[in-house]
This record gives sequence, C-alpha cells and structure tokens, in this order.
Amino acid sequence: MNSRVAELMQQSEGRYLRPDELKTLHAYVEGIPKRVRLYQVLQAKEQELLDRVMEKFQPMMPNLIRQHGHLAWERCRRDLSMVWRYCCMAMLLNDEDYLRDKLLYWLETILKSFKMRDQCQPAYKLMLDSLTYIFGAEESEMIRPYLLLAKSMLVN
Amino acid sequence: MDDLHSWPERIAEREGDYLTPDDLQDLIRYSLSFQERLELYQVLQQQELTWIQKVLQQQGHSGGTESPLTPSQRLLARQLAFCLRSLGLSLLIGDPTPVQQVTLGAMEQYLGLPQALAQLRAVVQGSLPADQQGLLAPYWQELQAVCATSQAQFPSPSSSRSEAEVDLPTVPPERALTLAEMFV
Repeated sequence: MNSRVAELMQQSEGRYLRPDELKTLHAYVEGIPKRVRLYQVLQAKEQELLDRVMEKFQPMMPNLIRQHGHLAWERCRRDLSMVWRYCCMAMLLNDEDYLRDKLLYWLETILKSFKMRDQCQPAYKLMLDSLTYIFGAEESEMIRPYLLLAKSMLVN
Repeated sequence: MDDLHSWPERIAEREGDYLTPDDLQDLIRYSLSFQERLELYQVLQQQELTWIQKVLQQQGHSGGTESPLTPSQRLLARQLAFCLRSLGLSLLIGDPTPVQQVTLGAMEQYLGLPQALAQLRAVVQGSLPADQQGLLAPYWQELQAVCATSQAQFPSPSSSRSEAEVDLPTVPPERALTLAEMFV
C-alpha cells in the first residue's frame, strides 16, 4: 500500500469509499502485476548494475581508500545497493514519499555531515547512465524517476 | 488469502531489502482478485442497512427501519456499521489493519458487540453466494479474533451468556460500567 492509498484509508474511516476514491484505488491495484514483474527484473540485475558502476567509478576516485580507509569501496557499494533497493521498493509501491521518508532525508544528512556529496556525485550519474545498458526500456523508464530523485537529494 | 498480514508491516520488515517471492505472489493474487473484492464491497455497502436491521430484530427491536431506536440500539447500530465498513475496507485493500483497529474501538464503545457481530456475520454470510462468503471469511475470523482478545482483556458482565439471552430493547443490552470497574 502506498502513502496515497494509506491517506485515502485514513480519510475514509467510518464510511464507504466514494466512486472517485475507488477509482484511484483501482488504478493503483491494476498496476501491481506490471510493477511486480519489473521489480523482479530490477532485483535480479542489481549486481550486474553495481559491478558496472563500480568498475567505472573506481578509476575516477584513486584516493578514496587513502581518504576514507580500506573499507571505503565496500561501503560505497553497500550504500549504492541500499539506495537501489529503496528505489526498487518505491517503484513497486509507486510511491516517491516512501523513498524520501525512509531513506533520502536520513542519508542526505549523513552525506552532508561527512561532506561526501561531491565525491558520491559521479556514482549516481553512472547508475543513471548504466540503466539502459543493463535493463530494457520499460524497466529503465520505471526506475529512473526514483533514481533521479535520489540523485537530486543526495548529491546535486 | 488464508493468512492475513498487514502490508505496511510486511514492507517494514523488508526495508532495505527486497520483498520475498511469497510476498510478491500475494501482491499479484491480491491484484487479480480486486474486481471480486470491489463487487463484494459494493454489496456490503448496498445491504448494510438491511443486515443491521435484521440483527436489531434478533436483539428484540420489533420495528422497521423507520421506527425509533432506543439510545442503546442506536449505539449498537452505529458500532455494527463501523465494523462492517472496516471489514469491507480490509477486504478491499487486502489488509486486516482497518478491521483490527475499528473493531477494537467499537468493542470499547459497546460491550455486547461480540454477540451482535456473531449475529451480523450469520446474517451477512447467509445472504452471500459461496465464493463471496469465502472471500470475506478470513476478515470475519480476524474480527472475531480481535473480539476474543478484547473480551479476554475487558470481560463484560454478561459475556458468559448465550446469544439467546440477549436483552430486550426496553432494557439496555449492557449496563454501563463505572469508572472504577473500567480501570480495575
């Protein structure tokens, strides 16, 4: 259930849903099978996507380990994986608020406080650029808005 | 959907990870059953007044839908409607949360509710074809489970009586608890 539907439920407490509310719910539910199918593809190819991003990102940041320790690349990949998974869940739920509320507000603060925004910026660009290499047009277009939202809040 | 789970809970459990294949299958099953759910939801909406009237008659109210109700009958009718609507909403969204929350609240308003809800369940299920009965059954079970839990926590003075012994409308179905009794 996404936040829009949850809001609808709260507003309707104690009464039956109006036709326009039923229509909103119906439209959301109708899209579920397609979103599940895309979600499964996005999940299956996560490693392939991250391999490609890391392969291109590492030569761009030769001093990362010196600056942030020997676990820097491991943590970088872990963080990108986390962002990707939250984006996938948000896509499945058709809910940008989920992504903002559950991850981006928090991670934005972390990246700012550690002054990591500039350093991380290329990784998000690489993720976006890699979409069409790894996924089909439909998957890329469905996940892109969530990745763009993450990029705009975390590193822009 | 025999085993009801709250979607927000399932999603929260998998935060930072992927939903399980079972969760995804449940989502698809829910989506594919939505049209049936919607049709049944609309039946509940259309039949609500008739069904609640039947329960009130079983509780001793002899008049029709236009005849005046005592305050306790009005309270009962309102709580039955809340429960039925929450049942419908749970059915529609495939999530037991509304029925759990509303039934618990309604139980606090009217302690004789479990008996009336059992009557309402019999009336509703008796009016529906088998496939719709099956679709609604897990939500009735959830509702009964909430009633049972609530009764265990706050047993009403008449909870041991059978349904046939329900009070007539001239006598309030349940005597009001005092503050001292409520906060034992």
